[in-house]
Amino acid sequence: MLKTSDNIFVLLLFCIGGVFMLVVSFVLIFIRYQNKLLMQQQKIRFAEAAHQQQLLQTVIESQEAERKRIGEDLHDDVGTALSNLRITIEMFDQHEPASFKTNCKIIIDKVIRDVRHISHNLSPIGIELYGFIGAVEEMCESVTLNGRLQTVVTNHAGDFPSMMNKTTCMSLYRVIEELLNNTIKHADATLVAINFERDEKGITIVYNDNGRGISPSSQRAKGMGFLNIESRLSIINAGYVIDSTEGNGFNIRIRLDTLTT
Amino acid sequence: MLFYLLVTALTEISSRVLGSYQINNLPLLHFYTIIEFLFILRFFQLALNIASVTRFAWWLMFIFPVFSILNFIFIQNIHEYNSYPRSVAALTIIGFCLFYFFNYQGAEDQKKWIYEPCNWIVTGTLIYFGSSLFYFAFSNLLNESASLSVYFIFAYINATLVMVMYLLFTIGFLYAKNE
Repeated sequence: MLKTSDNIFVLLLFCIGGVFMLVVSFVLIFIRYQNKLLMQQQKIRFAEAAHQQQLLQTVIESQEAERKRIGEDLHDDVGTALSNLRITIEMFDQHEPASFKTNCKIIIDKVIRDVRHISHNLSPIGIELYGFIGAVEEMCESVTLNGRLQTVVTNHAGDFPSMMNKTTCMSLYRVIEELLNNTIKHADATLVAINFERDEKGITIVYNDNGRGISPSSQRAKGMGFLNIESRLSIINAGYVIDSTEGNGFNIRIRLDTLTT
Repeated sequence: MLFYLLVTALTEISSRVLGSYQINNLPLLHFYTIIEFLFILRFFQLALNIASVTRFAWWLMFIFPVFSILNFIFIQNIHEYNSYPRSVAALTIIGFCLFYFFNYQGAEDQKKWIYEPCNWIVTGTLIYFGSSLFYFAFSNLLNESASLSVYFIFAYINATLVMVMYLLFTIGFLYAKNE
């Protein structure tokens, strides 16, 4: 064996120092990694909390907006019609009972129509009468009748609404209503297609319009309508993916995994 | 936690008392190694709280004393340093320390690393046993071949590492006290 003049004790000292440095570095790197992890988790938690708060805020705001709208509807339509009725009765002319009768009937019919309109808006009676798909079709028809927007509803999912509870049906109905509202207000579209698809795990609702679409930046800055959609979907545990670029229409896929939610 | 504190406090007291004998009395070191090993493994059993690890540690707590006793009867003289068992003990303890860190899930409890008392204690243990491993392994060689001054240099280094370990233990206890 080759003899060496190395001092074994110096080498031993190096070994002890080396291991000491390794251990200390290991612990320091570990602490740094743990702190980073902790900070990341805190960030995510804060973001989630802020998002939840925003959703809650939206729920409260939309409740207020709804109340305001009902109040306005009652005041403007029903209130005005009833005032008209009062004036008509006050100005009752004994010589023209037929015209008085007709006037009163017209006003009362208007009140009935207005009240029905308001109550339908509050709770879409269509769901109970025609089922979920029927109610959606009815809503689309009324949209088509009132404007230049064409709507096509296609159901490839069979009788899936019978497997959903009332809350889920109502939430999905409101989401579709909100999407249609957005399309009418902002998209400048002429055609909307709503498809219901089904697989073993659940259903997918695909909503498409041929309007101006939305840019990624405006996707991040969500309006109240969209936050409403998000909060309704999160309540029924549904997920969604938006696929839209400016100028290419708007497309959203809503995924509901368990039909029993 | 109180039980763990008591156990660790006992470890400290016994190590200090026996440490004062260690310089003059080598046979005590043979027994001290066993007691220290048992206490540290008990600490890890409580700190990790994993059934399989606890079982494994019980086995080691049985096998190691047997190996240690066989060592001073048949292999190394009781008046020499017990470099084999002490190195084995150090390696085992290093293994437990590393396992503790790999198994550490502090981030999930939303607790900062420094606020967990066990982290300080395991760090102290890892620094001492990791750095002193070579000192343990070469202790007989040092005793026989090194000059007195070299021998003392290493003894001082070892004492410094012990001090570092106890300082880290102290920080751990302070955090444990505040909890």
